[in-house]
Amino acid sequence: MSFTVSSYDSANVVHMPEKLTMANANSVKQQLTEMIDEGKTNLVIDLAGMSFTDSSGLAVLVAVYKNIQKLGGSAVILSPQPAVQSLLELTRLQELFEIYQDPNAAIERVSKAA
Amino acid sequence: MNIAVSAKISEQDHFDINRILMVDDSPTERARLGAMLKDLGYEVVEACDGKEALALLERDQFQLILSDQVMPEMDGKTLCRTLRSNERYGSPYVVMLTAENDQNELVTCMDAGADDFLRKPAVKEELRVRLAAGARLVSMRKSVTDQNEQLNETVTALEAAQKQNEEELQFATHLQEEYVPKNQWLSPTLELATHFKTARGIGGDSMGYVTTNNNQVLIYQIDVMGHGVASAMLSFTLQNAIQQMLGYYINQSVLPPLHQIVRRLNERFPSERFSGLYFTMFLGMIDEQANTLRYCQAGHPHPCVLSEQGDMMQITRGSFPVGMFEFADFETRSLPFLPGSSLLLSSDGLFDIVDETNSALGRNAIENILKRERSKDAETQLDIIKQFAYDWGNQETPEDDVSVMLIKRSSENNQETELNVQPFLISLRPTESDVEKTLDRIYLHLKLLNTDDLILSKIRTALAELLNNFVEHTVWPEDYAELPIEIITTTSKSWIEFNIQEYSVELPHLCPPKPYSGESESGRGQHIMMSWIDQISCMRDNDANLWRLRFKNS
Repeated sequence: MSFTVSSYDSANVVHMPEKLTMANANSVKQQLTEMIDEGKTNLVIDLAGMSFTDSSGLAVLVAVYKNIQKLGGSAVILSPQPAVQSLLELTRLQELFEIYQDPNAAIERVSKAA
Repeated sequence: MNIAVSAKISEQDHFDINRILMVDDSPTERARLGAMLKDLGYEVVEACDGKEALALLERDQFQLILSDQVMPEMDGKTLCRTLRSNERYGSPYVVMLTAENDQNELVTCMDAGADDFLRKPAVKEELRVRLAAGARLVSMRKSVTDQNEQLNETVTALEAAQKQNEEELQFATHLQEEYVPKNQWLSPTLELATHFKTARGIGGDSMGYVTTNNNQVLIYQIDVMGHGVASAMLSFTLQNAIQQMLGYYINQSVLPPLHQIVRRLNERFPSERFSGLYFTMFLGMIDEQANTLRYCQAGHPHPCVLSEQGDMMQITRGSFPVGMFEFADFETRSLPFLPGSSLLLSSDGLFDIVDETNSALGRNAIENILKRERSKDAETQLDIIKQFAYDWGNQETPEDDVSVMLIKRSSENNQETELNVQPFLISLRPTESDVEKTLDRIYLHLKLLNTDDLILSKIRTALAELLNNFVEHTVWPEDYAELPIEIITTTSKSWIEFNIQEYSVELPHLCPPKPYSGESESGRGQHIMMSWIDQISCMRDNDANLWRLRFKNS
């Protein structure tokens, strides 16, 4: 299970899979890293469809954050479900990412940074 | 002045009635009297006045003193008064030498503390009898003092022995209390409350319970006649014997009818072998599946069994105590024990508590409380009963041992949903997808039990963190049989428990989470586990690691 991407001008919205766990985290991480390396550094990470993740899923988010920091760009999180939201809070990842509920606001935010 | 004998003090000098202190200022008189005294067999120590006599008495004790009255430095009366005013001089017998025919002088001498007097000039024969009388008195006093001392020593020794006895009894009482089952749930629907109080420090009552493999609960109560050490020791022995017997039967899955167990105890513990001590007992088994209380009662007070509707079961037949008669036979009877029922088991000590007018508390009072308070939990009911009983008796310590067990079966609508137990297996050395599939199955299982979504996702994440460890970090034994990881999920209304058994070589490292920053590479999983699992424990048993994780289900 992997992710899909929708492109809006300079922004790319990454629709994360329903589950991001140890079983698929590594391949997701690799694909995302490649994408960022190709220059797609303005990302909206859409978690609306993601019902589960664990620490390996969080590691993917941390990797995205670090790569974007390195290359210059921005990433925000969109619409996490309550369970994922509480996991982000527990592990303080909400301090690394701005979290949006409105897709347009999120897209606008990362487009501006470009 | 000369000191004729420089006395060396030794223990026996302290009491030598052949030694005399002679006090006189006139050297001639001292020579004359000294000669007489030596003739009479006395060892003589001389002093020339009261002052010198006192100095000698500071160092040495004398039982007999012969003193002149009129002396320059300190006269005889002053010497006497000083002697009598201070205990350190002992209580020597003082004979005062007084001038002839002076009645007044004599009286003042005696008032000053002299024991006897001699008119001057002293005549040898008179001196002999006066001093002999003094010696008799001193000896008598000494023997009385000695006896007193001996008596005191005996009393002190006895007191010490009694203190030790009391301490040992206190310890034994403490041990006995430790053996009393605590208030607890014997099954998800059986609540036990207990009370135990001994009459004289240590008593002959015991009680306990054992759970069978089929979730039946065996309960027993023993009351060995009398109280004190002998009864308590027998009670301990019996409790051990009963626990062992029941444990054995349950292990072998061959629990005989209850009366056969009591019969066996009757054979093993005949009172002739135990100083005439016999005991009453109640042995019961609550079977929640069959909704029954089976019991065997041997001379023990009838149990109070109350239905949810408040009907008290009438139990009238009794049987002999255990150990009293070889021929005694016992029987097992059965009563309905439906949800909402209560069982109160008590030694007679409770019913026999008497008030000031010597009227006993009795069963009815207790049964009435049980009926009236039957909607309350067992612990509260027992508290009310205790309060009532001790108020009735108006005293802290009952006259007989009091031991009470109150068991309450939850009523149907109160009961937790039946425990749901479901095992899940994952292969040894699991892969990521093995973990994933198992988590999916557990998730579905809990979802079907209507588990709250947020709790469900917390459980899923926390479990994933633990199971991922098995994939990533755990060392598996090379030569070990391919035993799967077993996860047993137990769900009740209030909690969800996971018992995980796995065969990795060592316990996966688990310690409290470190201070954690969002950006750090590792520690996140452990942080999640520690935060979201309400209780976690792990133990090593039989080459396996047993993990127990508990989550609140509300």
